[in-house]
Amino acid sequence: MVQKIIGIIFLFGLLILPVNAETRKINDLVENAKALDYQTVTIQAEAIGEILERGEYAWVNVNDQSNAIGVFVPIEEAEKIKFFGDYFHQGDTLLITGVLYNACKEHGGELDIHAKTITVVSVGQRLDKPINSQKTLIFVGFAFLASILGVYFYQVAKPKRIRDASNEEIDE
Amino acid sequence: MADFGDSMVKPVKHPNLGIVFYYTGYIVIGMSLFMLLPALASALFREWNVVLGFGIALMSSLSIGMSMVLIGRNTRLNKGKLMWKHGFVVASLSWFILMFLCAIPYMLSGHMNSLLDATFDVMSGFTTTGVFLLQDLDHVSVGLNLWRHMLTFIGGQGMVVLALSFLVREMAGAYKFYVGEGKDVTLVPNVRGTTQIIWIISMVYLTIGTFILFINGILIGLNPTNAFLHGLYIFMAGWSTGGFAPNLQNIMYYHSFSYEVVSILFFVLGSMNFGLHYAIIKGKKMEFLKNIEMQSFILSSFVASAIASVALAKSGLYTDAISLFRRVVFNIVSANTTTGFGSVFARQFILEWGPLGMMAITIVMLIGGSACSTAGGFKGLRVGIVVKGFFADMRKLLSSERRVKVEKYHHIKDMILDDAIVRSAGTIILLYIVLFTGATLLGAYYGYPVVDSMFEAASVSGNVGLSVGITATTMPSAMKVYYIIAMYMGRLEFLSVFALIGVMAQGVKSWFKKSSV
Amino acid sequence: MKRLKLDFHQIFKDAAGYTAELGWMVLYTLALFLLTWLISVIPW
Repeated sequence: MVQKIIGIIFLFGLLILPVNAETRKINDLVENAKALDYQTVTIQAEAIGEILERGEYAWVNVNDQSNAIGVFVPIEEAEKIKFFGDYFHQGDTLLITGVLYNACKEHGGELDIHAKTITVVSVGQRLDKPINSQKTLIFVGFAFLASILGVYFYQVAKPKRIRDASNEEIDE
Repeated sequence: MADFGDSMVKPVKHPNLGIVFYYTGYIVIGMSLFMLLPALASALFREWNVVLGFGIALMSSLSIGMSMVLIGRNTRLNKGKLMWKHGFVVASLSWFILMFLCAIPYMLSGHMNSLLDATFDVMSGFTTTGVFLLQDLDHVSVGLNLWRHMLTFIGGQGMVVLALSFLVREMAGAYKFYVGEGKDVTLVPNVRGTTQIIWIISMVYLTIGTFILFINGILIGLNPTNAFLHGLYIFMAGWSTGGFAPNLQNIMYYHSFSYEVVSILFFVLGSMNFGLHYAIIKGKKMEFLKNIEMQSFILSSFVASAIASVALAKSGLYTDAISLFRRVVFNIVSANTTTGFGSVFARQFILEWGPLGMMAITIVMLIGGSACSTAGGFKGLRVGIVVKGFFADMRKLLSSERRVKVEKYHHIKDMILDDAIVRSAGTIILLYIVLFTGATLLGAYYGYPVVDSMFEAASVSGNVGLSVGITATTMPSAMKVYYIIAMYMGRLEFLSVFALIGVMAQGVKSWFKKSSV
Repeated sequence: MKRLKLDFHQIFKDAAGYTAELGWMVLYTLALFLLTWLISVIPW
């Protein structure tokens, strides 16, 4: 009997625990911003661009392929990030748990997340961008074509310039 | 023109085609040369594949441009016979061909899902709309990002305007090309001078604007390279009222009130008529308030801002002045100038703005900015003319029939408000409404909610660029095509595109006639 | 290139004009902010 009661209390406890351990997509947050206003949410996203320092805090912009959003964190947390996404880099993947604000009063009504900590789930990397040999070939081909046309073009379309110096203006 | 004997003149088989090809070819060559800038930028940042991409685009575009000039070269001898239809067709044809050529770097970047998507983005750039289908914007190269923003900067001024400013001497018939691209104001009596002044003003502000944004960028935490690049991008997108931004979050990436305010200064400036710029710069400072378009814009932006702010304040979402200004007023003014910088997420318009707010922003998107500027929409001038025309008619009806009052409006100088002007303004407004309605219906047909459809339709027809989420790579192709046409027609103000279609139809008709004989 | 030198001269002469334009922009933005502030203080 006692075991049953403990079991029920335990199950009940599980139910009232914040169910926000589920990782959401940024787009879901935007879509449900009203319902999730002031709620604790968790997202997993790539750090992009660079951190924007604001005194003891910083903005970290993150993108999880569904959308991108700004996360306001203490600057020490932001400094944990090694790589930021851009042309040459895959940014660190971050797990962020923070409070969602539909219209953050501190930041002029912005839809943002304030997080106390961020966890680097996987470090990013520099992306290899080897020169594409196919593109090189195609470029050379078109450059050749353009050069030939260019020579012809110069002879046919521009002769009046040369005549200008010696003759008087016939055309134009 | 001197007489140089029949032996030198080759009989021109298709004179119209020749004329069109000749001038379009030069415009294509000119635009192609611009590809050197992103190529150079990419080289600087060692984005070698991007350099190759622009190299391929440059060489192939130059080849096409030169071929076109060569095909039409005999026209040089017939230059005096330039007609209005040539001007319109050259403008619309150049834009059409360049839509494909400027898409080459996009296609080679791997960020586009299809050629349709790539041409969509190019047309959005040229027309300074600002919606886009490019994927993974946050990982795009410096070269491609520069190119995107350059497309709006150049497209905003106009490719034809650009070409005309390079003329060695004034060309007879140049004005016909100028009008073909949707402009008509002449700052000085010749077109070449006018187009050069337009470019000088743009370059002066480019320098000032990029510098101010650079400083602002440093202050908000951007590293110097990005502070400069973003300053350049945001200025180009703002001044051209394009609304592209280097990152997915658009202006929200910066999380900065000052950055938003500076952008307002430049995009409102950019939405102004060049004739007005010239007048004020040359000393007529009060022209700003006397001008009918500025009056129309100040009225519409203030009224719409008030309505939307009240709506959002009532909803309780934004209660302080700064939030209301940053999230509501910013977007209203962005919409009214047809810029398209967004300080809220796309879906927030639908989810939070309510019917009143949505109506306010949709209407200002349609009204648009000033004529002969980079802005889109009906244009403040036309709305002003039609409204004044209405009141003038009322006065005529109600006053004694003996009094004959000549109605006027002030646009750079005092102009007479006659029936023809009111009618032509009304006709163009009607055409925009038809375009807009078509886009709305198409969206509804494909299952998008009507309010969403209307917003997106207004955005695209007015070359605004704000989106509620309909514009996406998953959008039906028919809608992508319609939107491309809507952006194109909206920017060139219908006439050029109709002329192009008309000339093409004439060509097809005569071809049919020949083959049936 | 000669044309460019003349242009710089002209541009500096026009500096007052450019400043005037920017001044109008600042005024417009301030007026808009004032309107927004007025709306924000009214209890809707």
